[in-house]
Amino acid sequence: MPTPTYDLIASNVLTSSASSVTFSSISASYRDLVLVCQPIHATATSNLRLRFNSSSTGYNFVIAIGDGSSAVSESGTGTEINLSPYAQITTSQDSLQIVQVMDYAADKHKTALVRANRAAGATEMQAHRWADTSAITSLELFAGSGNLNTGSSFYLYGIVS
Amino acid sequence: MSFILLGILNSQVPPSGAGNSFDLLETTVLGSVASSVTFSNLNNYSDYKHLEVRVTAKSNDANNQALRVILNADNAGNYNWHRLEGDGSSVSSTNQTNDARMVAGLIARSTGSGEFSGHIISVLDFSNSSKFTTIRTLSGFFQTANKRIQLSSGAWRNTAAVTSLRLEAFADFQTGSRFSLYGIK
Repeated sequence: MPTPTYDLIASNVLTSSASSVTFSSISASYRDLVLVCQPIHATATSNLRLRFNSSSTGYNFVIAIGDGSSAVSESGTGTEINLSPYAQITTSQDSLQIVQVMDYAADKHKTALVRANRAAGATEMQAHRWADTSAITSLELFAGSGNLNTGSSFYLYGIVS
Repeated sequence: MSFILLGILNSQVPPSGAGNSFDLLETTVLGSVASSVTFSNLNNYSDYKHLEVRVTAKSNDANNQALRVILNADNAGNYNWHRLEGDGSSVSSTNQTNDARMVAGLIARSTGSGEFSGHIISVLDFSNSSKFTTIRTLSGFFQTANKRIQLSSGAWRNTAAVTSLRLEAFADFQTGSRFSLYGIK
Protein backbone atom coordinates (compact mmCIF):
# COMPACT_ATOMS: atom_id res chain seq x y z
CA MET A 1 0.00 0.00 0.00
CA PRO A 2 1.57 3.36 -1.01
CA THR A 3 2.47 5.67 1.83
CA PRO A 4 1.88 9.43 1.51
CA THR A 5 5.22 10.97 1.99
CA TYR A 6 6.29 14.41 0.80
CA ASP A 7 5.39 16.68 3.70
CA LEU A 8 5.95 20.36 4.29
CA ILE A 9 7.65 20.49 7.70
CA ALA A 10 8.06 24.25 7.98
CA SER A 11 8.46 27.38 5.91
CA ASN A 12 9.63 30.92 6.41
CA VAL A 13 8.96 33.81 4.05
CA LEU A 14 10.64 36.85 5.55
CA THR A 15 8.43 39.83 6.25
CA SER A 16 11.43 41.84 7.41
CA SER A 17 15.13 41.46 6.87
CA ALA A 18 16.95 38.93 9.02
CA SER A 19 20.49 37.77 9.53
CA SER A 20 19.51 34.11 9.53
CA VAL A 21 16.67 31.62 9.35
CA THR A 22 16.67 28.48 11.48
CA PHE A 23 14.57 25.36 11.27
CA SER A 24 14.95 23.61 14.61
CA SER A 25 13.57 20.61 16.47
CA ILE A 26 13.48 18.56 13.26
CA SER A 27 12.21 15.13 14.18
CA ALA A 28 13.78 11.92 12.88
CA SER A 29 10.49 10.69 11.43
CA TYR A 30 11.57 11.25 7.84
CA ARG A 31 14.34 9.71 5.77
CA ASP A 32 15.43 12.66 3.62
CA LEU A 33 15.01 16.41 3.83
CA VAL A 34 14.45 18.76 0.90
CA LEU A 35 15.14 22.45 1.37
CA VAL A 36 13.96 24.91 -1.27
CA CYS A 37 15.51 28.37 -0.94
CA GLN A 38 15.00 31.59 -2.82
CA PRO A 39 17.00 34.21 -0.93
CA ILE A 40 17.14 37.92 -1.62
CA HIS A 41 20.37 39.39 -0.34
CA ALA A 42 20.86 42.85 1.09
CA THR A 43 24.47 42.85 -0.01
CA ALA A 44 25.52 42.37 -3.62
CA THR A 45 27.69 39.32 -4.29
CA SER A 46 26.59 37.70 -1.08
CA ASN A 47 25.68 34.03 -1.07
CA LEU A 48 23.60 31.63 0.99
CA ARG A 49 25.20 29.45 3.66
CA LEU A 50 23.88 26.44 5.58
CA ARG A 51 24.89 24.79 8.84
CA PHE A 52 23.65 21.60 10.45
CA ASN A 53 23.11 21.45 14.23
CA SER A 54 24.96 24.80 14.59
CA SER A 55 28.19 22.98 13.79
CA SER A 56 31.06 24.85 12.14
CA THR A 57 33.25 21.82 11.45
CA GLY A 58 33.35 18.83 9.12
CA TYR A 59 32.02 20.22 5.83
CA ASN A 60 33.47 19.07 2.47
CA PHE A 61 32.26 19.87 -1.00
CA VAL A 62 32.71 19.17 -4.69
CA ILE A 63 30.92 21.37 -7.21
CA ALA A 64 30.61 21.85 -10.95
CA ILE A 65 29.37 25.04 -12.53
CA GLY A 66 28.66 26.43 -15.96
CA ASP A 67 28.26 30.14 -16.57
CA GLY A 68 27.44 30.12 -20.25
CA SER A 69 31.00 30.33 -21.49
CA SER A 70 33.01 27.85 -19.44
CA ALA A 71 32.66 25.08 -16.87
CA VAL A 72 34.78 24.52 -13.78
CA SER A 73 34.87 22.13 -10.84
CA GLU A 74 36.21 22.80 -7.36
CA SER A 75 36.40 21.01 -4.05
CA GLY A 76 37.40 21.86 -0.53
CA THR A 77 36.44 22.15 3.11
CA GLY A 78 34.58 24.80 5.02
CA THR A 79 32.95 25.88 8.23
CA GLU A 80 29.54 25.60 6.59
CA ILE A 81 27.95 24.71 3.26
CA ASN A 82 28.10 27.48 0.70
CA LEU A 83 24.97 26.93 -1.36
CA SER A 84 25.91 29.41 -4.06
CA PRO A 85 29.67 29.84 -4.28
CA TYR A 86 29.44 30.96 -7.90
CA ALA A 87 25.77 31.77 -8.17
CA GLN A 88 26.42 34.92 -6.17
CA ILE A 89 23.61 37.33 -6.46
CA THR A 90 22.97 40.99 -6.34
CA THR A 91 19.94 42.42 -4.67
CA SER A 92 18.09 42.48 -7.99
CA GLN A 93 18.78 38.95 -9.15
CA ASP A 94 16.95 35.94 -7.81
CA SER A 95 18.70 32.69 -7.16
CA LEU A 96 17.29 29.29 -6.30
CA GLN A 97 18.85 26.48 -4.32
CA ILE A 98 17.31 23.03 -3.87
CA VAL A 99 19.08 20.98 -1.23
CA GLN A 100 18.54 17.23 -0.84
CA VAL A 101 19.82 15.98 2.51
CA MET A 102 20.00 12.19 2.34
CA ASP A 103 19.54 9.94 5.38
CA TYR A 104 19.72 12.97 7.68
CA ALA A 105 19.01 11.00 10.86
CA ALA A 106 21.06 7.90 10.06
CA ASP A 107 24.36 6.87 11.62
CA LYS A 108 26.30 7.98 8.53
CA HIS A 109 28.20 10.99 7.35
CA LYS A 110 25.55 13.20 5.78
CA THR A 111 25.42 13.63 2.00
CA ALA A 112 23.65 16.64 0.53
CA LEU A 113 23.05 17.03 -3.20
CA VAL A 114 22.34 20.56 -4.40
CA ARG A 115 21.15 22.20 -7.57
CA ALA A 116 21.68 25.95 -7.55
CA ASN A 117 20.81 28.49 -10.19
CA ARG A 118 21.05 32.15 -10.88
CA ALA A 119 19.14 32.91 -14.03
CA ALA A 120 21.42 35.74 -15.04
CA GLY A 121 24.66 34.10 -14.11
CA ALA A 122 25.30 30.41 -13.64
CA THR A 123 23.96 26.96 -12.92
CA GLU A 124 25.58 24.55 -10.49
CA MET A 125 25.47 21.06 -9.08
CA GLN A 126 27.05 20.27 -5.76
CA ALA A 127 27.78 17.31 -3.49
CA HIS A 128 28.47 17.99 0.17
CA ARG A 129 29.52 15.81 3.04
CA TRP A 130 29.07 16.70 6.66
CA ALA A 131 31.50 14.33 8.38
CA ASP A 132 29.31 13.75 11.39
CA THR A 133 27.13 10.78 12.28
CA SER A 134 24.74 12.77 14.49
CA ALA A 135 21.12 13.07 13.44
CA ILE A 136 20.44 16.48 11.96
CA THR A 137 17.96 18.31 14.16
CA SER A 138 18.43 21.89 12.98
CA LEU A 139 19.26 23.82 9.82
CA GLU A 140 20.55 27.37 9.94
CA LEU A 141 20.57 29.47 6.79
CA PHE A 142 22.41 32.77 6.64
CA ALA A 143 23.99 35.15 4.16
CA GLY A 144 27.71 35.20 3.53
CA SER A 145 27.57 38.92 4.12
CA GLY A 146 24.76 41.23 5.13
CA ASN A 147 21.16 40.30 5.78
CA LEU A 148 18.51 38.31 3.98
CA ASN A 149 15.89 40.73 2.72
CA THR A 150 12.12 40.73 2.98
CA GLY A 151 10.61 38.21 0.58
CA SER A 152 13.36 35.64 0.96
CA SER A 153 11.66 32.26 1.11
CA PHE A 154 12.66 28.93 2.61
CA TYR A 155 10.63 25.73 2.54
CA LEU A 156 11.60 22.56 4.34
CA TYR A 157 10.07 19.23 3.30
CA GLY A 158 10.42 15.76 4.74
CA ILE A 159 10.34 12.56 2.70
CA VAL A 160 9.24 9.41 4.46
CA SER A 161 10.91 6.08 3.88
CA MET B 1 -9.44 40.01 -17.16
CA SER B 2 -11.38 39.05 -14.05
CA PHE B 3 -12.12 35.63 -15.50
CA ILE B 4 -8.46 35.08 -16.27
CA LEU B 5 -7.54 36.00 -12.71
CA LEU B 6 -10.30 33.79 -11.34
CA GLY B 7 -9.02 30.95 -13.50
CA ILE B 8 -5.52 31.38 -12.15
CA LEU B 9 -6.80 31.42 -8.59
CA ASN B 10 -8.91 28.34 -9.19
CA SER B 11 -5.95 26.51 -10.65
CA GLN B 12 -4.13 26.97 -7.36
CA VAL B 13 -6.87 25.46 -5.24
CA PRO B 14 -6.55 21.69 -4.80
CA PRO B 15 -9.76 19.98 -5.87
CA SER B 16 -11.78 18.48 -3.08
CA GLY B 17 -10.53 15.01 -2.24
CA ALA B 18 -7.24 15.48 -4.05
CA GLY B 19 -4.80 12.76 -3.03
CA ASN B 20 -1.09 12.79 -2.52
CA SER B 21 1.09 13.01 -5.59
CA PHE B 22 4.39 11.66 -4.22
CA ASP B 23 4.10 8.33 -2.43
CA LEU B 24 6.51 5.87 -0.91
CA LEU B 25 6.07 2.53 -2.67
CA GLU B 26 8.86 0.37 -1.27
CA THR B 27 12.11 0.75 0.62
CA THR B 28 15.05 -1.53 1.39
CA VAL B 29 17.81 -0.91 3.91
CA LEU B 30 20.41 -3.64 3.63
CA GLY B 31 20.98 -5.63 6.79
CA SER B 32 23.70 -7.60 5.04
CA VAL B 33 25.76 -7.15 1.89
CA ALA B 34 24.00 -7.67 -1.43
CA SER B 35 25.09 -7.56 -5.06
CA SER B 36 21.84 -5.99 -6.23
CA VAL B 37 18.44 -4.71 -5.18
CA THR B 38 15.39 -5.24 -7.40
CA PHE B 39 12.03 -3.52 -7.40
CA SER B 40 9.70 -5.84 -9.28
CA ASN B 41 6.01 -5.96 -10.26
CA LEU B 42 6.11 -2.27 -11.09
CA ASN B 43 3.06 -2.82 -13.28
CA ASN B 44 1.15 -2.71 -10.00
CA TYR B 45 2.05 0.99 -9.82
CA SER B 46 0.78 2.00 -13.23
CA ASP B 47 -1.48 4.64 -11.68
CA TYR B 48 1.72 6.63 -11.19
CA LYS B 49 3.30 8.56 -14.04
CA HIS B 50 6.92 8.63 -12.89
CA LEU B 51 9.18 6.81 -10.44
CA GLU B 52 11.88 8.25 -8.23
CA VAL B 53 14.53 6.11 -6.56
CA ARG B 54 16.49 7.65 -3.71
CA VAL B 55 19.66 5.85 -2.74
CA THR B 56 22.48 6.17 -0.23
CA ALA B 57 25.06 3.54 -1.09
CA LYS B 58 28.47 2.19 -0.31
CA SER B 59 30.15 -0.70 -2.09
CA ASN B 60 32.70 -3.33 -1.13
CA ASP B 61 34.96 -2.31 -4.00
CA ALA B 62 38.14 -0.36 -3.29
CA ASN B 63 37.32 1.96 -6.21
CA ASN B 64 34.31 4.10 -6.99
CA GLN B 65 32.32 2.02 -9.46
CA ALA B 66 29.12 2.95 -11.29
CA LEU B 67 25.69 2.34 -9.87
CA ARG B 68 24.05 0.29 -12.62
CA VAL B 69 20.37 0.38 -13.50
CA ILE B 70 18.81 -2.55 -15.39
CA LEU B 71 15.19 -2.35 -16.57
CA ASN B 72 13.06 -5.46 -17.12
CA ALA B 73 16.20 -7.62 -16.71
CA ASP B 74 17.37 -6.42 -20.13
CA ASN B 75 21.17 -6.41 -20.35
CA ALA B 76 21.34 -6.82 -24.11
CA GLY B 77 22.97 -3.52 -25.01
CA ASN B 78 19.88 -1.35 -25.34
CA TYR B 79 20.94 1.62 -23.22
CA ASN B 80 22.30 4.95 -24.41
CA TRP B 81 23.48 7.42 -21.78
CA HIS B 82 25.60 10.49 -21.23
CA ARG B 83 27.11 12.06 -18.16
CA LEU B 84 28.36 15.47 -16.98
CA GLU B 85 30.65 15.43 -13.97
CA GLY B 86 32.96 17.44 -11.77
CA ASP B 87 35.80 15.89 -9.79
CA GLY B 88 36.98 18.96 -7.93
CA SER B 89 39.51 20.03 -10.53
CA SER B 90 37.81 19.76 -13.91
CA VAL B 91 34.47 19.21 -15.60
CA SER B 92 34.09 16.45 -18.15
CA SER B 93 31.43 14.67 -20.13
CA THR B 94 31.18 11.20 -21.60
CA ASN B 95 28.61 9.01 -23.27
CA GLN B 96 27.94 5.41 -24.15
CA THR B 97 25.71 3.83 -26.75
CA ASN B 98 24.38 0.28 -26.86
CA ASP B 99 25.48 -0.31 -23.29
CA ALA B 100 24.23 -3.24 -21.24
CA ARG B 101 22.98 -0.98 -18.46
CA MET B 102 22.24 2.61 -17.50
CA VAL B 103 24.63 4.29 -15.10
CA ALA B 104 23.38 6.40 -12.22
CA GLY B 105 26.50 7.92 -10.72
CA LEU B 106 29.39 6.44 -8.81
CA ILE B 107 28.99 4.49 -5.58
CA ALA B 108 31.05 5.42 -2.55
CA ARG B 109 34.05 3.09 -2.30
CA SER B 110 34.69 0.71 0.57
CA THR B 111 37.14 2.89 2.44
CA GLY B 112 36.01 5.68 4.73
CA SER B 113 33.74 4.77 7.60
CA GLY B 114 30.31 6.31 7.35
CA GLU B 115 30.91 7.70 3.85
CA PHE B 116 27.99 7.03 1.48
CA SER B 117 27.11 8.34 -1.96
CA GLY B 118 23.73 9.89 -2.72
CA HIS B 119 21.69 9.17 -5.86
CA ILE B 120 18.34 10.58 -6.92
CA ILE B 121 17.10 8.67 -9.95
CA SER B 122 14.04 9.80 -11.93
CA VAL B 123 12.38 7.28 -14.24
CA LEU B 124 10.03 9.20 -16.50
CA ASP B 125 6.78 7.87 -17.95
CA PHE B 126 7.81 4.36 -16.91
CA SER B 127 4.59 2.60 -17.83
CA ASN B 128 4.15 4.22 -21.23
CA SER B 129 4.49 1.57 -23.94
CA SER B 130 4.83 3.85 -26.94
CA LYS B 131 8.20 5.48 -26.27
CA PHE B 132 11.65 4.73 -24.92
CA THR B 133 12.04 5.16 -21.16
CA THR B 134 14.22 8.05 -20.04
CA ILE B 135 16.19 8.11 -16.80
CA ARG B 136 17.86 11.09 -15.16
CA THR B 137 20.14 11.02 -12.10
CA LEU B 138 21.74 13.56 -9.80
CA SER B 139 24.41 11.90 -7.69
CA GLY B 140 27.51 12.66 -5.73
CA PHE B 141 29.78 11.99 -2.80
CA PHE B 142 32.75 13.41 -0.99
CA GLN B 143 35.05 10.75 0.43
CA THR B 144 38.47 11.25 1.87
CA ALA B 145 39.83 9.21 -1.04
CA ASN B 146 37.77 10.67 -3.86
CA LYS B 147 34.88 12.98 -4.69
CA ARG B 148 32.45 13.50 -7.52
CA ILE B 149 29.28 15.32 -8.56
CA GLN B 150 27.42 13.94 -11.57
CA LEU B 151 24.36 14.62 -13.66
CA SER B 152 23.49 11.75 -15.99
CA SER B 153 20.66 10.80 -18.26
CA GLY B 154 19.87 8.26 -20.88
CA ALA B 155 17.30 6.09 -22.56
CA TRP B 156 16.40 2.43 -22.51
CA ARG B 157 15.78 1.84 -26.19
CA ASN B 158 12.72 -0.31 -25.71
CA THR B 159 9.09 0.80 -25.70
CA ALA B 160 7.91 -1.80 -23.21
CA ALA B 161 6.42 -0.63 -19.94
CA VAL B 162 8.96 -0.90 -17.14
CA THR B 163 7.97 -3.72 -14.81
CA SER B 164 11.21 -4.19 -12.89
CA LEU B 165 14.18 -2.05 -11.93
CA ARG B 166 17.40 -3.59 -10.67
CA LEU B 167 20.22 -1.61 -9.05
CA GLU B 168 23.61 -3.31 -9.22
CA ALA B 169 27.03 -2.67 -7.77
CA PHE B 170 30.27 -3.82 -9.39
CA ALA B 171 31.02 -5.34 -6.00
CA ASP B 172 28.45 -5.86 -3.26
CA PHE B 173 26.55 -3.03 -1.65
CA GLN B 174 27.53 -2.70 1.97
CA THR B 175 25.21 -3.07 4.93
CA GLY B 176 23.33 0.15 5.60
CA SER B 177 22.90 1.04 1.92
CA ARG B 178 19.36 2.30 1.41
CA PHE B 179 17.07 2.13 -1.64
CA SER B 180 13.66 3.82 -1.64
CA LEU B 181 11.15 3.76 -4.48
CA TYR B 182 8.55 6.51 -4.84
CA GLY B 183 5.67 7.00 -7.25
CA ILE B 184 4.77 10.40 -8.67
CA LYS B 185 1.31 11.06 -10.10
